[in-house]
Amino acid sequence: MTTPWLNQALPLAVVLVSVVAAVIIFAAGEERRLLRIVVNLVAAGIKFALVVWIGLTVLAGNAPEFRYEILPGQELVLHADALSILFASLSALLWLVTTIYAIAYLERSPNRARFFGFFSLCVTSTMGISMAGNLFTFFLFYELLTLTTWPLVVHSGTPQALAAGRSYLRYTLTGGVLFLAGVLWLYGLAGSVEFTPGGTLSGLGEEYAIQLRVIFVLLVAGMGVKAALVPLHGWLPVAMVAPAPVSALLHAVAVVKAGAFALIRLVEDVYGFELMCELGLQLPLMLLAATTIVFGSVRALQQSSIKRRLAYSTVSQVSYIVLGIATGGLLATAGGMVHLVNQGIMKITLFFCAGVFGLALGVNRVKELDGMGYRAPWTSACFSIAAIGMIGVPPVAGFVTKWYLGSGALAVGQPWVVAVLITSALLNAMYFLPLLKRIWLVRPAPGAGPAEYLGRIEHVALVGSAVVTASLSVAIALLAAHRLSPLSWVLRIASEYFP
Amino acid sequence: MSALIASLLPLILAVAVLVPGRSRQLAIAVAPWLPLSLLWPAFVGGGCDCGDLLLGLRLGVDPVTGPLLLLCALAWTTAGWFAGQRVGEAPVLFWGGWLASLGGMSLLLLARDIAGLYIGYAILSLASWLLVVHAQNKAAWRAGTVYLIMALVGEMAVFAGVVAIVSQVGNAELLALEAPAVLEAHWRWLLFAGYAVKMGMLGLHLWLPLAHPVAPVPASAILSGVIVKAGLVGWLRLLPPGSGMEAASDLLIALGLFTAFGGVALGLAQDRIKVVLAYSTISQMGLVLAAFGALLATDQPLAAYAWLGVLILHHGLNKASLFLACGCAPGRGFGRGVLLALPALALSGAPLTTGVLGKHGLKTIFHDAGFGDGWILVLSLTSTATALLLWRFWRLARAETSHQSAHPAWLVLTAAAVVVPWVWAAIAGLDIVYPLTHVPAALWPLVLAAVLILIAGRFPVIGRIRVPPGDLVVVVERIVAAAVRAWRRIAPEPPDIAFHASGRPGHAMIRSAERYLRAVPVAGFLILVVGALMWLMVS
Repeated sequence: MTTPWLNQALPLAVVLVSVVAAVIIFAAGEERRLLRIVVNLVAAGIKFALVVWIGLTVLAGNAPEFRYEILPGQELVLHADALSILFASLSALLWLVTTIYAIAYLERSPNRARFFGFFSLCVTSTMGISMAGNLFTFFLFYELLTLTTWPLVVHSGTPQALAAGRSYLRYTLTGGVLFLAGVLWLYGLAGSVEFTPGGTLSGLGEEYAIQLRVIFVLLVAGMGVKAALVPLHGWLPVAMVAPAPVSALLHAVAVVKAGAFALIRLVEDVYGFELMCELGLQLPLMLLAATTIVFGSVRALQQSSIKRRLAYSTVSQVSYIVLGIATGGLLATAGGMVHLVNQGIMKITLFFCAGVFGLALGVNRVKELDGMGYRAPWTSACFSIAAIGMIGVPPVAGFVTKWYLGSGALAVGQPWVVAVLITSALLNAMYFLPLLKRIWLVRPAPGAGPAEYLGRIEHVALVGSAVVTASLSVAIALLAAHRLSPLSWVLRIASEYFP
Repeated sequence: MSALIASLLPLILAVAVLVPGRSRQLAIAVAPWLPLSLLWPAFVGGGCDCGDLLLGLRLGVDPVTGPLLLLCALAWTTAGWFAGQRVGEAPVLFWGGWLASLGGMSLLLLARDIAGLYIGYAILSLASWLLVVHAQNKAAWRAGTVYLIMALVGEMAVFAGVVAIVSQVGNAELLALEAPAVLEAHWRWLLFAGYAVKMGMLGLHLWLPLAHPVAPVPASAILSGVIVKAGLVGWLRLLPPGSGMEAASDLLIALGLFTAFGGVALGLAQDRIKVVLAYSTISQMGLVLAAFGALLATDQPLAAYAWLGVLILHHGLNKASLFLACGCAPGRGFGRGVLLALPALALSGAPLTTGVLGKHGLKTIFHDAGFGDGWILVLSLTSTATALLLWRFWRLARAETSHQSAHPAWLVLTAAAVVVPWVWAAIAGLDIVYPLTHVPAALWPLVLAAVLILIAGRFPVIGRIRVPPGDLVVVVERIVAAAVRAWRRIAPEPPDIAFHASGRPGHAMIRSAERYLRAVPVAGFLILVVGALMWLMVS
């Protein structure tokens, strides 16, 4: 299926496709609208196809890898394993859908070339993060992600957007400094840290235990900013001033998931679960995740802006991933990893719908949702499906996560995790169900008309994107036991770490 | 295959109802007759190993769910027939909820794996809310809120118990009255309590008397007749003998009898017919709970279950018939009086009715489990209690003389209630001759009831005691309202843009703490402090 050359080229190609797209888009300028649309869609399609190709290669047992000595003694490594394919395929698929959505959404806005240029670079960084084979490469692409998403956050140029951008940079660059400190220290101790299942650090002796603990804290802090762990989550609700496609991408695919993915790599491939437990770091990490889960949901209850409510919901839900990883054992780890996919798809649906509510109906606050079921039925339906999925009601994706997290926690003897899951589910119900009641069971205010779109294509692109992701979120639960479902893929990954 | 279609079709049609036009019309036209499709797998015995669906779905019919499938098919179809011609308002809300509840119930009954059972139960619980709030007036919203909160909390308790089982045995296959896993006490009781909410065990019953009067008549019929028994299915599937629950069999019987008598006591203090019937359901489910407790103590649970199946069939059909009667002006005319009297007498355990079959079954279960004559006496007294309550219902119902016409579905369901339990018991090979012929055993509780009614007639003050429907709900609502007011005072809604300095005193505690935390130097320092604390804790 692959020659050695292809083995090397594939990971690099996946990362470079969007760089090429970005260059073309910037060079073409603001006026070449059709060219931009074509380049965007073609690049997204090619990327997705490449990721599928690599996925099949990995399934066949190969391990495509690209190495390049970028500094003396330091290699840039792009390596595709099952875990990278999980994140890369999620990103590539959702990038394709978000591109369609963003093209339609931004029809009414200026500076689209700038937006799509940085959009493509942002996905480059995400692909790089997923394919990174050592901590150094990972760090490079992680910081590149920060720099390429900042222009998207401040895209609208208003004072609020600029202030949100400043806050975003303050948080993520500080996190980057801590991350770098951890990486350098670790490299000093252990040399180049390649991602290997079970980690490479267990060979270090007892005398390094204290240093390893401090490094872990630094790395968790650095990664935790993007993963929106409490108290490092402050940038996320504020970044909601960005346009809806950016929020969708940030919250479902790129930044927050990258943070969670980073923590997965840290716990499983850098330190290894065993070492983390030996160092006594498991329980603090679990507690941190649990605190974030409950805190995020409690804050979400208090929000009256739809997007901010969804932002706090993200803060809470992404920590399910961290909780699953920290709990350990096959089932809980699988539950945490599969939530990368589940939460991504459900959250992106919610943000697509929130974007439509804002753009075509001018609705940004919870109390304006009255009667939305009459005004925008398809969008409201997608919103409802994703919302009940977040609560954990079957047969939508979220319940698969809850099932595995709950049983996994009990299988390793941590029953309090079940209490956290239940509390979170009830809180989710408290802040999502009233929205659904308003949407479907309350009459719209007099004078509130149906959604206004610029044209049929815009309408189909916006609502269709939401329909696609909502259907996916149901399909991955309905067919969860199928061998091609995300759950099956994740169980395969997790069984490598917990045979 | 038949099982797969029977469980998926209602959910597919529920989605079809949402699409306006031909799709909706077709779905609503087919909906009343859909429950009959449950008879197909019941007769064919069809199973399905649809391993790719959900978390490894397995469907099938076994002796535990046999009587429930029959009950569901009969009661749900006749109620649907009634609804098709009587429910005109908000059809999307009604039929969407109707079909989704049916889908959840079908999945619950046909599931042979734990995930399928849980998923069906979750869908059923949430879809029933749509039926409760159908009227969309103040009473309906209140009932809906109480229902939803209790359903969600109950479902979370069930979830906790289910993952406790799954953590031991994965998504195991469920066999007839064989426990999938042994559970520790706290998980068992959580699981039990979660399902007990649905059954209306006293203490967890608060939603029932509120939900029944506000739901449309056919919806109340299936709520009491079929849906509450989903709790029993949960107990039978996940807490049968072998799960550890048998140690508590005495306590369960006590809880059941407490519910049986308590439900009647509260029901006697009501003055609306549907609320009285709701409390009667609570009381009868108490009897079912007691029977379940006794079943746990027998060494032949399947044989004992055969009688429990008859009891459930008898109660479900008769209760659904009484609810349909509430929508047919039962006070007009002699014929309607007869149709009203038949199920009422049956539920009271009058001779020659299906009630004696049910009572005999109950006594047989207790006898086989080794309980003595004292308990049998108490069971007979529950007949007296039920008779008192249904007499009250009769008096109130006969005063309903509005102009509503009698729907043929009521007649069909009543006829089914008279005949089907006997036929079922005969097919199951149970002894139906004994209860038919031993009249005095069935008669004396009713005579006692009559005597008590005559005595109570001398003290009119007894008849004037009133308890609000939902009894303790009123107290709980007051406490919750006070708590919400207190919360709103300490944590008001924050403004959206965090950048405008607001000079207001009395900022929300959490909000001001978060604003402080957002200043990066504080965040950085805090990270180092937290990190240092973690290090100290673990080194």
